[in-house]
Amino acid sequence: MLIARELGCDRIILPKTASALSAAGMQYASIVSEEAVNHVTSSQDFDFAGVGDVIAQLKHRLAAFARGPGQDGMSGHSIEVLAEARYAGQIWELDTPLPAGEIGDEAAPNALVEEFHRVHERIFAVGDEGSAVEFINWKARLAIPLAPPPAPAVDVAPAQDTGSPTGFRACYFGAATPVRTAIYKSADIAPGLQVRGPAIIEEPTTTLVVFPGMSATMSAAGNYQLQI
Amino acid sequence: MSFVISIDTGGTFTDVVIVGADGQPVIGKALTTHDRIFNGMREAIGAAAAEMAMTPDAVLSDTRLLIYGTTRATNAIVTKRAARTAFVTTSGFPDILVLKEGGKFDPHDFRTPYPDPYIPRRQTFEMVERMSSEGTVSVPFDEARARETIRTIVARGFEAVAVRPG
Repeated sequence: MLIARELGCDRIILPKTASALSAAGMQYASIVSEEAVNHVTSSQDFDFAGVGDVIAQLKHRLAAFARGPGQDGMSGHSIEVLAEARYAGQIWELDTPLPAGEIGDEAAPNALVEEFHRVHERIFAVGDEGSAVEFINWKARLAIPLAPPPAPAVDVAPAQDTGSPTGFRACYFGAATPVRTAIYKSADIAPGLQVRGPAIIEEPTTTLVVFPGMSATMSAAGNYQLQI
Repeated sequence: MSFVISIDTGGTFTDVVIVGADGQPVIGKALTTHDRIFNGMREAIGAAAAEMAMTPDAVLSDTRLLIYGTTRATNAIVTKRAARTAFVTTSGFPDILVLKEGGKFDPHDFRTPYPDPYIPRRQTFEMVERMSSEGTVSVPFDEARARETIRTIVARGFEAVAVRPG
């Protein structure tokens, strides 16, 4: 909280899962797997059959992967196909999504070339619509979505009472003499309750120090909103 | 009801998040146990299970998905505490790990040298063999000398071997 004050921030949100944020993110991030195959061709003489085979091979491998974790009700996976492409004679390949996801007729490579011009324009701020495009590698990316995070709870109005702390301790906040400080356990705190500093909130996996003059309020979703 | 467990093993703590049918995440935390990583995982799962008034076995037996992430590989590289590794390469290419231009934040900062390779040059061993760009044999594989090299690698107590055929 002192860092926030130094930065001039009025409010901080401390997520309920702050002490295990990476593990919490894994609950909601899609499971992703990628396969790639090297197959060189050009927009000037596009190898329809070869690229078609390569994409079928990539999708076959990813389908085998999806059958693993996909058996247990994790349906709805999607496969994105990309080409690593560059202007003829250049060296920097850019990931270019194949809009249709497969090579069907003449339109698919044309759409891919158009997409490459856009990607090149976005990354290098220049496109060369007249140049041929070379395709070096073909990639397919499988994404299996997991459960979306729970919908945010409707917020509650902050309560004016300060609840009942578990106890009090004498704590030092930079001065020579200690300050009588309220100690709250997570069971003492309900959504909407405003804890005024000096106070310490002891959660099972983290400890939150509320400095004198600051306050912490628990939101309906169980996150802390800190007022500096 | 079935659970989804996600686990993040870091250098200090092992974090666990368990989500059940109600969608609410429950956190468990324990110290990372470097001698056997699963001990820390089990303790963290137990801590989260206790929050739900359940035993870890009851949670695990009703789990449909376990997601695992860890910084162990990154930490091993950053702290250079990976296995002592011998590097085996084609005869004539012992400098391949040294002749690199990667690993600097600013490639145009010429006052900062490129970082040392993960395997020091002195742990490099050369094998007599050579393939052509067409996949044909240019220099045949010398099995007798290869066995001699392998005996040296074993004698010097290496824990892992990286092979770059060429």
